[in-house]
Amino acid sequence: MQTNDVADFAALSHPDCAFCSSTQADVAGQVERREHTVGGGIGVTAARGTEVVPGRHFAIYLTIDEAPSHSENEFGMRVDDNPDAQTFAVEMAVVFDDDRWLVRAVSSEATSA
Amino acid sequence: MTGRRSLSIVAAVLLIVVTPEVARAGDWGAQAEDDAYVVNAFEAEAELRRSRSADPAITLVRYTRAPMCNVGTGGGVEMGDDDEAFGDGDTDGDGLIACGASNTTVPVPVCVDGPPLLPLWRQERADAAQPWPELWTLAFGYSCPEDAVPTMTAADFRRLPLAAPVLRLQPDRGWVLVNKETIVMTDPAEQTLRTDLLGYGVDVVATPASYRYDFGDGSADLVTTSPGHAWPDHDTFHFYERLGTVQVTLTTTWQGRYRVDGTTVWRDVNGTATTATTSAPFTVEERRSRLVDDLCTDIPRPDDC
Repeated sequence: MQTNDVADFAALSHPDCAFCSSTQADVAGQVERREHTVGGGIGVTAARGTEVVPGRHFAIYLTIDEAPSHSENEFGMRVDDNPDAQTFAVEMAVVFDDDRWLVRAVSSEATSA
Repeated sequence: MTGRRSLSIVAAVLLIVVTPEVARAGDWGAQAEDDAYVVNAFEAEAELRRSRSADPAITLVRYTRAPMCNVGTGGGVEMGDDDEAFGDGDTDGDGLIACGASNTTVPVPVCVDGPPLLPLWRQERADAAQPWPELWTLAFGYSCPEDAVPTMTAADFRRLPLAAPVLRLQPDRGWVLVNKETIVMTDPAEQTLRTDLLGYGVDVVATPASYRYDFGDGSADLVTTSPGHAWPDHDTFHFYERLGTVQVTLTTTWQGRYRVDGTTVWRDVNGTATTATTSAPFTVEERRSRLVDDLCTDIPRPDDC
């Protein structure tokens, strides 16, 4: 979101990952509007996982903290504001597909505003 | 590949995924959601089924479902049995089996289709000549029966033979008047389909969500959620402004929900499908008024009377 560069993100996204395609579409919209995000750094405060299928499928559980952020247009004007930090409980499905690890699914729940 | 090595790779993947330059949580919470829990629960059950179909004499991986010690599920097998060996099932017939190492960070879900499925545990050995080790590793925590079924993707949904809905025109006589309303409408009926998903029978209901009309004259498309109504209650219509021959194309966007056999839960398909219906060609014509001697129904002269 800060760089508007989703190349690495896209390379890790499974074609059926709705969260992944939604994020990429958001960035594409941001690029089209000539906007970018300032702030919003993410910290992973807890992570655990189980190997559901050896060498093929992991279930990953994260707790992430996200700093306040805002979006600016090409003139430096604020067009969107997220002034509050947030914490999310995230569950992911990560699969080995097409000879590489891909994020198959992401679901999250805000645990604090 | 060892589990430790795999885990390190996945951890590296995740570090990249959550790098702040790529996503921020303000966006994170606003994105479309997958159902990662269902994807994981289904894969755990599928792996258990695959292992059960393998020859136990030569398989290198085996699974069992067993509770976690000191975790109550509110039903079914709980809390373990000290008289049993882990993975050996209920040999004394008291309805209890041995429990595995407790992990209080694993939640127990509230299920719709019965008590939660017990956690899945795995044993691995290097070759078939070796005995199974004592160690059982947790492969997946508690899950619900309704979640341990396949997920219908948008691609699966789009492969279904959805019938294109009928496109009705009013007037429907092979020609319409220029600069007068040409009414379009369709049938908003749901479609019920039956399909197979990874060996599971699935009921699918497709519901029209929106309609896009291309009137074939270069004008802007009409996009609506209304199936339309006949005159005089019509709400979907078009004025042709030029004479000519045109066709109307209706593109219907469908939402889907599905229920896997053996469960009672209907789930939404994460994505849509489309169908297209094109009318027969018709002409846009001009009619001029003129005085005639009698009723056209009695004396249909001239031809356009």
